[in-house]
Parts: sequence; C-alpha cells; structure tokens
Amino acid sequence: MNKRLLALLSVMVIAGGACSPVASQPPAATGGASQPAATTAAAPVTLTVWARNYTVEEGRIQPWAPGPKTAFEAAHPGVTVNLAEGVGSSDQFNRIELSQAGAVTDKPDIFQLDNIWLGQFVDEGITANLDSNYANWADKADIVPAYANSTIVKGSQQAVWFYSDIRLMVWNKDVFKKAGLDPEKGPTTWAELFADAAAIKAKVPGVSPVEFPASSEESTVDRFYSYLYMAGSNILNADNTKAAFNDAGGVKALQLYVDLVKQGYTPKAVLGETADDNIAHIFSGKAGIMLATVGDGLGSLPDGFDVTKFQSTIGAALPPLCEGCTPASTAGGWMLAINADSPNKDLAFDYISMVTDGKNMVPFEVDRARIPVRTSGLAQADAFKADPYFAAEADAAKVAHFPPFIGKYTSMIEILWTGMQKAITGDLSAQDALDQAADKVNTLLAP
Amino acid sequence: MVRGAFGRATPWLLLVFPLLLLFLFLLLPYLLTFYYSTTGATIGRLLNVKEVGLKNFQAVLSSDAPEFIGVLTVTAIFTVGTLLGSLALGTGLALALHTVRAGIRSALMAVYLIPWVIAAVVIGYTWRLMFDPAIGLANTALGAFGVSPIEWLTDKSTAMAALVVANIWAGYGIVLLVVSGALANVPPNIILAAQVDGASYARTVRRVILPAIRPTFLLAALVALVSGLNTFDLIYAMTRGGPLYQTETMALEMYRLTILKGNIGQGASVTVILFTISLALAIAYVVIWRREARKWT
Repeated sequence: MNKRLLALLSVMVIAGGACSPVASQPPAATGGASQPAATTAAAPVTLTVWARNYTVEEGRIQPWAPGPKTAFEAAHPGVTVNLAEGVGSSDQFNRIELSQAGAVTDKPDIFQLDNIWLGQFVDEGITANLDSNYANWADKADIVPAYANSTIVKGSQQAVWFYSDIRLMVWNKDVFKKAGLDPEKGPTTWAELFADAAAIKAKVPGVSPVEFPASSEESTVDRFYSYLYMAGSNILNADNTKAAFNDAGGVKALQLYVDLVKQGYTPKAVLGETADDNIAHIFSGKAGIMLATVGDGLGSLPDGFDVTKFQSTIGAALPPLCEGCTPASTAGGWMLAINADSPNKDLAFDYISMVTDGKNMVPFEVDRARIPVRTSGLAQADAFKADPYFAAEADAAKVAHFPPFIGKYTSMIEILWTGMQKAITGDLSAQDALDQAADKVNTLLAP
Repeated sequence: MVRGAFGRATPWLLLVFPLLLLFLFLLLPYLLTFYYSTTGATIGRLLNVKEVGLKNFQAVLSSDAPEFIGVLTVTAIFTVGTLLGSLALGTGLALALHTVRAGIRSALMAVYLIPWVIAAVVIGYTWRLMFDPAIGLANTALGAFGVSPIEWLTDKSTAMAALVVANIWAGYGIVLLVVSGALANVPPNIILAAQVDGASYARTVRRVILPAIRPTFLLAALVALVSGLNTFDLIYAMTRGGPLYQTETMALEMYRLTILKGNIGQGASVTVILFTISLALAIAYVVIWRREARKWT
C-alpha cells in the first residue's frame, strides 16, 4: 500500500511539475517594449516590429530589410531589429489590440496599421505622440501635405505614412472581347457602364457583368466611397460629428448599386462577397467589371499571371462618372506607429525614418503597385514603368479622398454597410436605408 | 489508521489532476465568461475592466443591427429545422438499415456516417459550392426541369433552408448511430408478437419499435438540438450570417461581437444567454428522461 501511495504521489508531483512551469518560468525575452530603457551598448536593445505579412515576405522586395535594417543596426551598435512574423490585416488589428490587454507579454515597438484604425488606436492610447520627433525631422517636408496632415489626430502627429493605395475600376479584357466591346476601353460614365453590362449579360452567359463587395465587411464601404464622393457627397460632416452620406449624392451612389442588382447586371451573391472575392472573379473571367478595387493587381498577381498576362487580361481606370459628377477615388493605405509603451521611442522613430525614406520605399511600391506618399517617391515615375496602370493610379491619387480617421470608425461602417445591404436587398429604398443608417451613426457619434 | 486514511483519500488523489484540468479548461472559462458579461471588457482591455452590471445584456437585447429577437428567431428556426430533419433522416435510415443483413448493414452504416466525421467547415464549403448560383449542383439539377437559377445563399427566402439542409446532412449521423444502437437492443420477441398479431411494418414501427427506443430517441433529440444551437463553423463557411443577418444565429452573433467587434463584454453576455438556453434544454431532457425511465421500471 505504501509503495502504491508513493507511486501515486510521484505521479502527482510529476504531473504537477508539468503544469507549473507556465507560472514559474521567467518571462520570455520578447520585444523591445519589455526591455529595459537603457540603450547603451552594454545593454543590448531589441526593437520589435509588427508588420503586415506581404511587407516581410521572403523572396520579394521588403521595405524593412536588408538595407535599412543593416544600416540602422550599424548606426546603433547593440541595437537589433526584430522583424516579427507578418500577419494578415485582421490578425494585425487583433494582435495590436491584444498587446494592450495585458493578456500577452510581447509588445511591439513599431507596428504597421491600416489608416482606418488610427483614430481608434489614438483613443485607446496605443500610439505614441510623435510631435517632438516630427518637429526635428528633416524628411517631414518630403511627405505629401495631404498625407502628413491626415496623421494628425487630436492635434498631434500619431503615425508616419508607410505607403498608400488607390481605388480604381478594373475589368476583364477577355470578357469584353467576348461581349464585342473594346477591351482597351472601360466604361467612363454610368451610362456606358450599364451599356457594357447589358452587352456582357447578353453575349457572355455565366459571367457576372458587374460586381462590387456587399457583405458585412469593411471593403463593402471602402469600395463604395469613390462613387459617394464623385456624386458630391461625403461620409461625415466637416468636423466628423454627423453623418453626411444620406444626402442626394449618397443616395444617387447607392441607387447605382441597387439598379445594377435590380436590372440583373450584378448578382445578389455579392451580398456574401468581399472585394477579394470580386477581384478573384475578375482575374478568372467569372465577372466582367469590378466597380472599385485597390489598384494593386500587379502587386498581388494570382498564380499563372505575369505582368504581360496581367496587362493583356485586366484593364484599369478611374471609376466611371455619373452625369454632372466630378472624378473621385478613395485613398487608403498603411501607416507606421510607435507603441506608447515602448521605452525606445526615439530609436523606433529613427528606424521608421530610414524605412519610409522615398528612395528605400520605391522598389517595394513598384513591386506591390502601391502609391508613394513621399514627393521624392512620386517623382520617380520611371521606376513605376513596370506597372501598366501607374498613370491611372497617379490620376486617381490626384482626386483621392480619405475616410475619416475617427475612433468609432469601425462601429460606424458596420451601420453603413447594413444600410447599404437593406437597399440592395430591396428591404428599404436607398434614401430610407441611408437615412436610417445616418440616424444610428449620429447617435453613435453623439458625445 | 494512517493507511486507512490514505486509502480513503486515494480516489480523491487520483481525481485531483483530472479535476484540475476540468477546472482550468471548463469551469474557469465559464466563470470568466459570466464575469466578463458584467464588465466593459474589450479585446484591447481585458484587465482592470469596469463593472457595468447588466448593461451588456441590455445592449445586446436592444440591439437593432441585428435585432436580438431576429437572432433568436433565426437560431430557433435553424435549430428546430436541423433537429426535425436529423431525427427524420437518421431514424429513417436506422430503421431501413435494421431490415437488412448485419454484414450489409455495417458496410452501409460506415458509408452513411461519412458526413458525420467530416469537419463542419469542409461540409460548409462543399455545400456552398453545391448551392453556387452559376456552377452549383442544385441549380444544375433544377435547370434540367427548366427552373431558373436561384441565389440560394444570398436570397433571404432560401438562405436559411439551404443552411438547414446542409446541417441536417452534417448532423444526421449521430442520430443514426444512437438509434441504430437502440434498435439492436429492442427485444425481438415483441416485434415477433406484433407480426404474429398481423401488424404491418409501419404499424410495428409506430406502435412497438419507436416506443421501445423512446428514451434513446430523446437522447438523440437532445444531442441534435444542442448541436443545432451551437453550430458556428458551417454557417460561417456558407453565409457568414448573411444576407442582412438572415442567418445570424446566436453562435455567430457571439463571434461577431467578440472577435470582429472586439466587445468581449457583449460577446460574453450572448454566450451566457446561449448557455442558459442550452442548460434549460438539458434540464428538460433529464426531467423527461427520468419520467420515461420510471415508466419502464
């Protein structure tokens, strides 16, 4: 019995030991945010960067390394840049949020953020105030003013623009050929859009003439904005306190979506589709025209596509215009911010400065068909020759608008896409759907 | 004396480790969920959270995008549809298999159980393809009869029906398995007695076999019910709650609030409501089962 008891106790001790290390282990060495503040050579510092997956993709041009990383580490002995594993958009959002939750031990010093998250992160105290860094930053003047101003939230600089992207309309040239349309010329007006859609519907069975995202997801509103802006509307009023999207222009833009569905040019299936689904349909020839997408087709070519095939298969141009409207596009993109908890903010800013340098960014931007946010980058038009649609992107950049960088943006767009869906399904008229959404947005934004 | 004390303690000592695991991975998450449902926790703030009482429940119940009553109705339709379909298909197949020879029965049983062992997300994507308006089998089959293509998953009138069909296919296996096991234990003499009395097969099933397996049938019903109530992956793969929240069940609402919106407090309050409903159903099952058991003893 004693032997059995001893054996039992031994098993329990082993089992208990197997469970306890989590609590007894010292914290794992992680990012710079958990390192001591000292930055001397005697105390090695690790600067941790949380970036999007495609900016740290092996075998492709990276803005972070090897050039800037090597130069930065050489200039700062004892400092190592740790480029953590890159992740997708929603994972990036969640890990940044979670890093503040106290639930995880590792924190970044620098993180990449979608421009639409900036307001929320500032509200939550995640981003460091960069006013002092901007004050002494020689490169500040190189950033296109509209971009530099957009990172000012609550009166302070909170981030540095990394690269931008612009919405363009795209079409499949093979589908156009089958429909008897000129494959090199996409529709430039809404009237032409309907005419092209009718031709595709009549002559290319099994293909959706026009697609746009309409599922419960951010790309639904993002790809809609260009049409809203061209019709003279806006998302919010000037001081971002009330909805403005339910004016005549907003209704006109949403009515375009409704009419396309009603007339059978756009399948109701778009209610379950994201922009990624639409663009996959364009590449595969399952759809003829996509109203607006991030102009990065060249940067995200699917298997079997090279630049030549891309150019011969896909066309891109500014979104088609309604009568009496003005050309418009929407700019999005990614920024870099410094964690408010980072003990190495100045070092982090130095590295950001090297990475975002116009000359360093251009090869990456060419490779991924992104739009430079630096004047020096935009001036290198020759470098972008490989992108057959750079001229269209540059044109779009001139008429681009930004979504509002407010803390409640992600809650606000949920209301907007629900309203859009109500109009597309025919539950409400475009006016009623947007009015209802506007009421809810106003309640949401009320102080 | 000491040996006796240790002897009495041995079962408890043996139970310590599994109980610890049970506490860590089952009870603690439940307790935390109950706790978070009364706080303003968000994905960015899990510690030092503000107590908000029942405000999360109030927010969830008064939400209008989607309305909670709508979510509850969608959940009820999906669950009851799945329950009835699974019971009908699973029991029907079990009865049919019961009439064939044991060897053939085993082989057919293995085939019929295939959907049950496939991951729900795979089933979801498979059925999504089947219901694809352009290339799906459903429209191709209907097309042969001259029926125009139907937007199965994005039309408000058909999305729920399509989901229920897919979930019945995914879930009838457990009913088939449980009912088949019960059928094997039905005393052959009562079936023979019915046959001698001239009862048809349908009458024998209705009057003799089904009453004989009633307690097991109740168990199968409970499993199908709870499984329908908690289904997430299949719906997410097929419709993600759309169109316009027409297939947004409580499980999806929980995910949307917690993961997509990062509102841990409100997500937890939906979880608590779902837990309460599941618990009520489980208690109802136990009460009914005990009543049935008393009849048999």
